[in-house]
Amino acid sequence: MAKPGPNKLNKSRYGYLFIAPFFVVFAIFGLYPILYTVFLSFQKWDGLAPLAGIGLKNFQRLVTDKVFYLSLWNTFRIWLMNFLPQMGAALILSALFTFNKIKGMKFFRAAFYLPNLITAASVGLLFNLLFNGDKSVANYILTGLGVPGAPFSFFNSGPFTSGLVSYIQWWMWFGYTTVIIMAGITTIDSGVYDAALVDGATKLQTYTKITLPLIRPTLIYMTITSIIGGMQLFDVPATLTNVQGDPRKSILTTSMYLYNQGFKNHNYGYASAISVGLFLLIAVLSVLALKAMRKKGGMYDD
Amino acid sequence: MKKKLLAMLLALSVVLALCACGDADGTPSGSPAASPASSPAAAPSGEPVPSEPTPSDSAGLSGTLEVWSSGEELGRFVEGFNQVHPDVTVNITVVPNADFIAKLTPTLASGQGAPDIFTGESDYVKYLVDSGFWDDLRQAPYSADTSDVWDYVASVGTDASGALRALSWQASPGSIMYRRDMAKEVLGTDDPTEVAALLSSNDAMLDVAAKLKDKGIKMFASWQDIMNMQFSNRAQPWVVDDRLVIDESMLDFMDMAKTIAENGYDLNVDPWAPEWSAAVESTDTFCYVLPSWGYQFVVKPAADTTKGQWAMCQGSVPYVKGGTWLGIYKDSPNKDLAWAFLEYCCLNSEAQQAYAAEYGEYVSLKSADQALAAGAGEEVLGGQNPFAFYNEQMEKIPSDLMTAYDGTINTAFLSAAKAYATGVLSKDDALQQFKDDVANAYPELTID
Repeated sequence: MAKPGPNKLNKSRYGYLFIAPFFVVFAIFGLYPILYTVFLSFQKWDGLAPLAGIGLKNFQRLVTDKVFYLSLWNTFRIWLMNFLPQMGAALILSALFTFNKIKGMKFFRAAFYLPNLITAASVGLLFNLLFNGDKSVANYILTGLGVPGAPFSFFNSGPFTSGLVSYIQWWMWFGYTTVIIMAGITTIDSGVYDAALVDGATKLQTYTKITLPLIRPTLIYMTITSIIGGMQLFDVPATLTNVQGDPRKSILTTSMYLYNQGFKNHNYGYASAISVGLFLLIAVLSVLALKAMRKKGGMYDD
Repeated sequence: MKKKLLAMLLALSVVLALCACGDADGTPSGSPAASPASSPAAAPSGEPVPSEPTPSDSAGLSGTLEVWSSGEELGRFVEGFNQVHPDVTVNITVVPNADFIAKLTPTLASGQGAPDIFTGESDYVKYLVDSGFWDDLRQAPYSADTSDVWDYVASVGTDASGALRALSWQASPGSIMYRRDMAKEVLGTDDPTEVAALLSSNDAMLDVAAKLKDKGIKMFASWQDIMNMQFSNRAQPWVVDDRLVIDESMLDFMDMAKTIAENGYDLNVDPWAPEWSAAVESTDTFCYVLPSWGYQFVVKPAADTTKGQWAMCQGSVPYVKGGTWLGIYKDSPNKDLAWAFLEYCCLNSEAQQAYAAEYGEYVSLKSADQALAAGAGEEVLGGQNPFAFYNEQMEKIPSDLMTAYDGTINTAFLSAAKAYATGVLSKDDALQQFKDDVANAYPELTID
């Protein structure tokens, strides 16, 4: 009579035990810091003095803070100018790689992926060395070619610096995106292509009508992770100039702004409020992206 | 056929991508860190010498001392310290300056795992001095005697209530380091006193810059270096009674920067850029405006063909810039060990003399600097003794104008001055940008 009961209970307990490690680690290193940040966003704290609760003051300041909006626009612009070319390049390259037999395809794929392996901070510093100063490599070449106006003060131009960050981001990430999209394409059943071929579809039609719709889950995944990563952009713009987003805050991203408010100016409470604001914004953007890409909703959505 | 073309195109793009990667590997790491990596000589000497005359009161000290430092240099004292206190293990954790505050503040706030001694660099030392996490070194059990310390060094370590929170083993008086050969050619003399007389005001410096330009020589490596000197022209620090003070001299400096940029009196690079560092060996750059550590880290290591062609003199105004202070954590369980180490680095004249003689660094005790001023001069400086020169400067430097806000405000001001100098913003707009930046960083300050 008492036999079957305990056995069943034990089973369910073991289940919880086995998944516990992840949740314990997540609670300590993920959840707790997030909740503490939310708590801090209602405080005034210079890092050393005792906390002082100031209610919604940080958020009142946040919604009227011009620099905050500027940093959001900078971040979004840099992300968009990198994301669109990145997706374009990745879609074209993955199509070339999967639908043509190209010698050394694996080598190219690896080579395109390579920039992704370099630490972002080193890349920022590297590009700084290429463009900083009248005798920098870039100016040396331009002067040598007799380009009128050379040498240029590259880092004195906001649009150039902002564009350079987008380019660096593109250069670092298009290989990764290509690899992921190729993986998505290879999961498509070849029978579908054969059927299209029999029906007389052109290569372009096959790509736009079959491949693209079928890899939509991959594209959704890429877009959302890219939004999240892009809106948190920090290392490249921080190391490219002086962490203040020079020239004239043109590459001051929201993450850099909150870093400066926290660790440079010791306004930890306000920095937390910025971080909460950024979190909400990323959440909204992610949901919008998800909705937008699922709008035409088909059987392949999951 | 098509495929071959395609393969070629892909190959080309790979080559380009690889070229870029190759650059990453091949570029010498010209790190713009303020204190360039200097080989740490912190190897603890293997054998404690028992016959060493150990002061009786310190005999018997043993334990482990935890030190957080933003630079490697502090580690150079450990070997000598261990000869006096063989049973004390000094663990120095070097945290890069850029991350130092970010690592330190949470530790201090929670009190968990805090070090016995931690350092503070000039950009934020006042923030730490005012925070009260360092013990007052004038009180028991330390009772520090600072009569031999340069006033400036002690004054920076002193908080508003007069408590001495931190001391330093170094002092960093300013100088202009110039090329003797170019001075002779253009100014007719290479004597530091005579050159200093020709550079005795900002206008005089610009006159010399114009003369140098006629001969195809750039006066400065970067005009941004001059900013630290110009800060000495202020009558008041950046912040007085929670109010931002923009001294008239700072407005003059903005115009000076514009004159330099427009006339091409400098290399048009930021400090620590490769071209800036390379100017030590150039044929067309006259001087660096840098404090004592600039000689140790920039000029001396790079001077090869220009050995003996350098000299240092005063510019329009004496100044100081930089330095690392250290203090004892108020809840440290090892205060006796911490004090023994701090005293050894910051108040022991013999230790400082040995250190300065080996590494050429200007130190914080008058007696040590005076002893070194009597020694032979430097080969790079054509026989000039930097200690003798800097001792004179230390006597003349204005009072301490540092505030807890300096790091951020200096950066914001430089940014605004740059925008004006390069002609992107008008003076009023640049000043407005500066005020906005300060208001944004420190909303509690009043800004007119």
